[in-house]
Amino acid sequence: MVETERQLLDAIYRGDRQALRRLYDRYSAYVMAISLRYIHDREDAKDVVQDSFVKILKSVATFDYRGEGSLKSWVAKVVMNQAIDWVTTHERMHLVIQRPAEMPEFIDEKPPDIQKIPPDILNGMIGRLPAGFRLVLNLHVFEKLSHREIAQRLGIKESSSASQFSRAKILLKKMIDDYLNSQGI
Amino acid sequence: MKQEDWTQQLRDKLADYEESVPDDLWAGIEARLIEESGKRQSARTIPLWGRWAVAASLVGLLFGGGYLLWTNDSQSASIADASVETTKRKIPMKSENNDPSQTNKDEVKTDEISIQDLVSDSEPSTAQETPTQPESPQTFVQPDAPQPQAEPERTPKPETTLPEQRETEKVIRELDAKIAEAKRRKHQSTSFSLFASNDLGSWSNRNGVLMSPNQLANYDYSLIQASTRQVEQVYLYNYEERQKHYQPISFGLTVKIPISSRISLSSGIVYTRLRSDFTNIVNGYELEKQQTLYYLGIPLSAQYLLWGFKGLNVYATAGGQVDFCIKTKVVSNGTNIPYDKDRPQFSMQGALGLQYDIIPQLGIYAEPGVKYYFNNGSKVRNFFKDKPTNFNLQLGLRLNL
Repeated sequence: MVETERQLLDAIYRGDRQALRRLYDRYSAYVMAISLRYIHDREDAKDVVQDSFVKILKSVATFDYRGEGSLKSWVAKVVMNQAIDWVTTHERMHLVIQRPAEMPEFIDEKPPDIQKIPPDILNGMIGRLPAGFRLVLNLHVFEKLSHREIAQRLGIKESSSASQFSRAKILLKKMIDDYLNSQGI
Repeated sequence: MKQEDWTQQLRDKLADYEESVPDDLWAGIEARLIEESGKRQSARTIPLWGRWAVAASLVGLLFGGGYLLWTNDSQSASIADASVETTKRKIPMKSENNDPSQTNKDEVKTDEISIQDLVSDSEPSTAQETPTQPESPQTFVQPDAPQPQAEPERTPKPETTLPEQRETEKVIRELDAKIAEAKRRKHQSTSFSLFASNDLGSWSNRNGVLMSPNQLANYDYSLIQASTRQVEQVYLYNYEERQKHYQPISFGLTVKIPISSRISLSSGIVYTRLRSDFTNIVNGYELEKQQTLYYLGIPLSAQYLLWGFKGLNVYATAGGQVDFCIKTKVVSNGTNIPYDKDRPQFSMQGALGLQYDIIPQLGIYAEPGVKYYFNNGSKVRNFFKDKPTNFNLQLGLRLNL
């Protein structure tokens, strides 16, 4: 029987020595993927996961459980925040005003064929977007934040968030198309 | 909308995607939990017994030194007798009519005197240092031993009337001066030291850990839903940390090179071992970590001879040392954790030294002092960071060449 989050938390509260490790085992691969979507370099992404788990394990005893899945989303959010902080301190987050070299000249309206791309490749592509694109795309698509919320979180204008997002999509689509072309798909 | 559609697909495709995690990640997290918690310690308690230990050591050293001082005379006399033969061999030149045994028992240790030395220079500037006065009843047994320059030179002995006796006296005086000088130089000859040292006391503490506002600021929960915000309040319930830093133990080999009659420089190599135990209780989960750091250090120090009498020297020493961490061993709950080596550790030290030469070639010494360790900025927690200023006692053997 799979241990529920409630059971896992109860074990942690009881002082079960192995419960913290089980929490880690359960979510580390999931948050590693998130970290890699924000940070392309695997070593740096690993450091962020490590820092995050240090915080998570220290504060999990006071985590407010709100039903199955709330622990997972909390863990993910801690990692996401840690990753955003990492990007903003380690990368010059230039909101791309000028068009990057790889930016296509005109926009092909046809949506990219996402299903044909292996998830690790897709995940890595997001991680390779320019910092501004990457943060906005991650926050808007995966965290479902509005551009207003993104603007607040990143300290940028709401309109910038929207324009970064639309450009991020264009660039990501081109990366996906290029990949599929190179694979002859 | 088309574009919304494909980003929706993107989310769905990657929502539960997982990436492989490096094997050593957990070990790193466990180590960090221990390390991070230590940063929050605020008050450091120095146990009272530690101070008493320091005080007791210093008092003991003082008495020990005093004892050596008091017992010095008879010991050195007997040592001197044992080495009279050496003297006879070394200073035969002008002393046909002087029984070397009459010169002085102690100076026989001055086996460094060369013929040239004896002839060239006769400045008895170090007269007061010359231990030519009879020190013990035994020396009075030879009453006709000419009194050398410990007495003012021009005080003639009543019975020294004959020219050859005067000549003898002169030679002896010269000899004594040389002997005194040579003896001085002996103190300052190149020597090798083999020593063990430790900083006094080990330190332990035990803290409950409170969440500080600063710490909270590190946690950006702005995006966390309101429901989870109360994380900020309680935080470190059921959380405790204990740490114990054992005293560093060092072994070293140094060479001391004289610069002048009183000043010398020494350097060498020092091996230091540093052990710390950390125990953290996180939600009742006990994390134990034993950390042992190994350093190889290069000391550089200057010594100044304050006072020397017979085999006993008192000197002041000051200098610095750089220790390179050659190995870090961290064992947490029975498993080895890969750990970075500490950065180079700089320290400076001042000490008072007491050396007693058991035989001319070999002395024992003690150097109680104060040592200060500069913060090397690394995250490694150890004795040096917890107690940057420390009393230090070095004990060793010194080989005089």
